[in-house]
Amino acid sequence: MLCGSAPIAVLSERAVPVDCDPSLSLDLGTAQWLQFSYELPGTREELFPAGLHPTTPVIVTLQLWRVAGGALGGFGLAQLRLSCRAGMRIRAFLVQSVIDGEQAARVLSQRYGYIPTPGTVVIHRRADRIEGLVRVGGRSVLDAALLKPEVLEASGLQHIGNMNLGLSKGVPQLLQIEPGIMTLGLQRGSQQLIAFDSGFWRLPGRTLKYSVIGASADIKLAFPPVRYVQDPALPALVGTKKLDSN
Amino acid sequence: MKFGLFFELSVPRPFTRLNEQLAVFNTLEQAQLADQLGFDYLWVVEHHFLEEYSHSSAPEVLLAAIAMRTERIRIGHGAVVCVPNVNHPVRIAERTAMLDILSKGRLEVGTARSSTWTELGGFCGSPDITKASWDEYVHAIPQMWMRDSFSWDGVTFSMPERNVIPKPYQDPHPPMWVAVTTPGTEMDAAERGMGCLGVSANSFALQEQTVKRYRQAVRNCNPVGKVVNSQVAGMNFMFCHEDREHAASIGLEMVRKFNYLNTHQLWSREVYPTSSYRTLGNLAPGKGAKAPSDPTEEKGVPEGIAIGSPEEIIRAIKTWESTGVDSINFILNTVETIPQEDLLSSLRLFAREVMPAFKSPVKAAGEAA
Repeated sequence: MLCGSAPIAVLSERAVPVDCDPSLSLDLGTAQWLQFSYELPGTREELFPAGLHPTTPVIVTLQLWRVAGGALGGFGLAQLRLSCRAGMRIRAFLVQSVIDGEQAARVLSQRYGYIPTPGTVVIHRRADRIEGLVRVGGRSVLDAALLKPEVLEASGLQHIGNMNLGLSKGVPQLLQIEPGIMTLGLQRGSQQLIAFDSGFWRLPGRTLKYSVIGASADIKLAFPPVRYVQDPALPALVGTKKLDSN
Repeated sequence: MKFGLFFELSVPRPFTRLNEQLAVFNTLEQAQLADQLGFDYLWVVEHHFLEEYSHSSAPEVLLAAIAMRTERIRIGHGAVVCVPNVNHPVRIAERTAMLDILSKGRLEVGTARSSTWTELGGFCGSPDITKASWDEYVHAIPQMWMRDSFSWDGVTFSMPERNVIPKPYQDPHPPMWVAVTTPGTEMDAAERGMGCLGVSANSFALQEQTVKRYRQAVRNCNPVGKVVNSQVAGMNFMFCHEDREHAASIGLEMVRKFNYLNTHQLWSREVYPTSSYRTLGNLAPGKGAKAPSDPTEEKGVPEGIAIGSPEEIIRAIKTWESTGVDSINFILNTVETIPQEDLLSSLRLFAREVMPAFKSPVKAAGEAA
């Protein structure tokens, strides 16, 4: 059966040190949420550890958040994720992220395994489009737009939780990230990809030509503690461990 | 109670030409045996791009081969995808009519709209319109079968006047069904006078509710064709063996693999924000249940599964019978987990020990006559 084949040692090079506190949660308040989705052509197993199995096809989600306030203050986050499954559950495997805000970068990295690449994350609402721009080191690594957004009922959006690879006391672990997201308003439309730096997003040489759909939402965001971690070398059914909340 | 088989054509990796051929010819052999043993139905699914889970992308071709090798079993197109990017409705009417002729009137036509992005995305289809196209198709196809001159001016397809030929063997047309994956779809079937073809494993309680709602609604249906099909079929797995422990160890492995492969697909709702798909099809948790966060929580083996000794299976089916279903269709294998000889033995044992417990004397006499 299909499962990931990427060497854990290679994947771990990008993993950040984590110290999950199972008693701590974060209320981040309201945020703007923007997502661009594409099918990823080419081989898929090499992108995942053995503990995850790729969906058919693998969907790349480029997701941008602009958080207004809350426990970590205002910040922006951009992330590239790949659709997969851990056991029976749909998940998105974090490949790269940019966090625009010092406190948020520190906390989301240490507790939740996000990669704290510094940069700027901007969401612009225009009359006929919503633009998403991510800049790192003075260059655009993502420039995309949601075109002619149409309103959809909020229940039409299913949020997918992350699997983030972190190093817990030096040992690689997949953290099951399940943000509590309440969709307050949802728009959907076609998408335009103006700039995508595949090298920065750790998909060197890959092109995103098979568009799925773009979406934008106003959300309420909270981060409960990480409750489950998984050995990336083992299937979820045998490699998952519940963190003690005491 | 009637019994049927559900063929998915599940193929194990690595995908060799031989593996695919073996799955197809094993299916043909199972179909022939089922015909001889007295099973009532066999259904062949239509799926596209669902690696390992189902390589049955051309069911009408396989059904034609089955029709020519069998004599009495009813053959089910279960279910044809009613989405313009996948199948034009005229082609469905033409192919099903030809199948009905080849089988001498043994065809059952199941309909569905597809729920995975794996399939819809592969055909560049939009999840937004599948409900509308399915509704148009099920109204149009019986007209194509029955009328010498047909035209249509619709939302998802239109066509000028033509005589869609050939016409089916069954007069006025074959029974029609709706593939029912999630609660609520049975009402779509009932309101249109179509049979309720269960294609996911339900709990007894849920099945009972489904049957009850369906029976009430079908009484006041507005049928899409000239024939009301008011049957309800459930889905189950089957592996029958005298040694219950042996049956459980092999049969449950088959179920586990089926459930696991089911998750490899990408459901439309998971990637495409839409109001058209409110649940996750086969992956949806039971009504009122919350999706588990714990990945070690495997989707459980449904209660009443037909895996075990003949006595155990009779008990399970008696309970299904009490929910009001008219028939049960069994999945027999996944990625060739059960060796073909063991599977054929299981079918023989089921026919010998289980089937007689569900044949009423009146019906048996009628059949003998």
